[in-house]
Amino acid sequence: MKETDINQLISAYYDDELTDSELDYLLEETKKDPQLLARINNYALISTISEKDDRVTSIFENISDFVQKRWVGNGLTAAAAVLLTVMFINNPFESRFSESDVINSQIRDAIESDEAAKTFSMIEKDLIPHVMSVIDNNGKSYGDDLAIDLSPVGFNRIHNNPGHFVKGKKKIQVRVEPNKIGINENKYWKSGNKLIYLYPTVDGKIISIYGDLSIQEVEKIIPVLIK
Amino acid sequence: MNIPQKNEAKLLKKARNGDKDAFNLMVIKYQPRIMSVLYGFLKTHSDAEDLTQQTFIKAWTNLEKFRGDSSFYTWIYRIAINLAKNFVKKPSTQIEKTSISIDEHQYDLPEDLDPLSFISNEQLKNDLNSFISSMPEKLKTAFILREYEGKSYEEIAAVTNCPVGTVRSRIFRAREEIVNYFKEEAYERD
Repeated sequence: MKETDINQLISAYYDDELTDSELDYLLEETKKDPQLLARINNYALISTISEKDDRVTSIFENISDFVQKRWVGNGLTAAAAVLLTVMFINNPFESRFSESDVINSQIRDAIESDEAAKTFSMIEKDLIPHVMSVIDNNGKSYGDDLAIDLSPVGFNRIHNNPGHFVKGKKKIQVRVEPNKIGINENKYWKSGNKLIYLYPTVDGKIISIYGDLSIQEVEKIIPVLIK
Repeated sequence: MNIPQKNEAKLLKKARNGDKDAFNLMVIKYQPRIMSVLYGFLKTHSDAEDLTQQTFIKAWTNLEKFRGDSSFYTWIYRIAINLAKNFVKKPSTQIEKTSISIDEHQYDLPEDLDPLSFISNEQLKNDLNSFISSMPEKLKTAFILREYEGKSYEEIAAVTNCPVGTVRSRIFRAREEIVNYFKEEAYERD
């Protein structure tokens, strides 16, 4: 087979248009000459570039309905919603969010877009990592957590798990730490029965509450924490 | 949208039987996209490159866990995102380049054009569009219908009223012209 022909096979392979016998032939050729793979890589690069801006124009339109049905809040930007959704999809403990591969694909396209990357890095530079770290809390103590007493509102500390509290079947996490994320008003995001609530105190701290809570319950907890 | 990948399904079967070359042929298609995603997260070329390598190593070593519930790309995409998340959360954890291996070799897929100079260049889309506009009409039509519209060769053949073999040839020639254009613009890997 001529060089042009094998290269044409590579192009057709990239488009998933080879017959089984052609595919077998191509595989054998790439075994003999792995540099043939570089040509596929080139074609894939062109696709990546040609896709770039098209994704940007449509990503948030594609996912807005999905996201809005799940996350409501007073400080929710599209970028935050996307990232929170990705967090949940990638978190096996929150598998109820993995509803279909179609949704995953839409989220995938959103998260990998230039627009999302820029928005995350500029608008939500400090906020999103903080929220991610609250959701991913691994039981570490943050600043004033150990001194928190939520017994006045019926929550008991979970032994050996700083910042974690339980009230009946409700489990919540509470963190109190220096406000390094720069927010000066309360923000919350709610999805189903999960709530993330951030409350900046007047003395320069940030209270983060996450768990099975309503906003009304949080509004009872905050005064106990800032007392 | 998951378009059924018949070539990929066959390669996957071979890869599951231990054919690393089949795996390489399968994943090389996704290398730039994965690197682009990781670069979006990590913002440094070297980290994106290293985590792309790790992604494919992890995919290879965990191939038996891929059940086919999602597309193969979605699966490796998730691997990449999880690696990036862990890396961002623990920036002090350096990527262990020397321990990454398959069959005791560094896992490198051949490259020609430099993916990193591509994915971090904001002007490329314009360059690409300008060049495509200047291509011969028949090549341009076939390429756009395939690359931008996602049409099959058979559909393109019907639209352009020519044999499937001609469509295949035109798309190949269009790609070659584009690749050569970018090579002349010095996007080659050193």
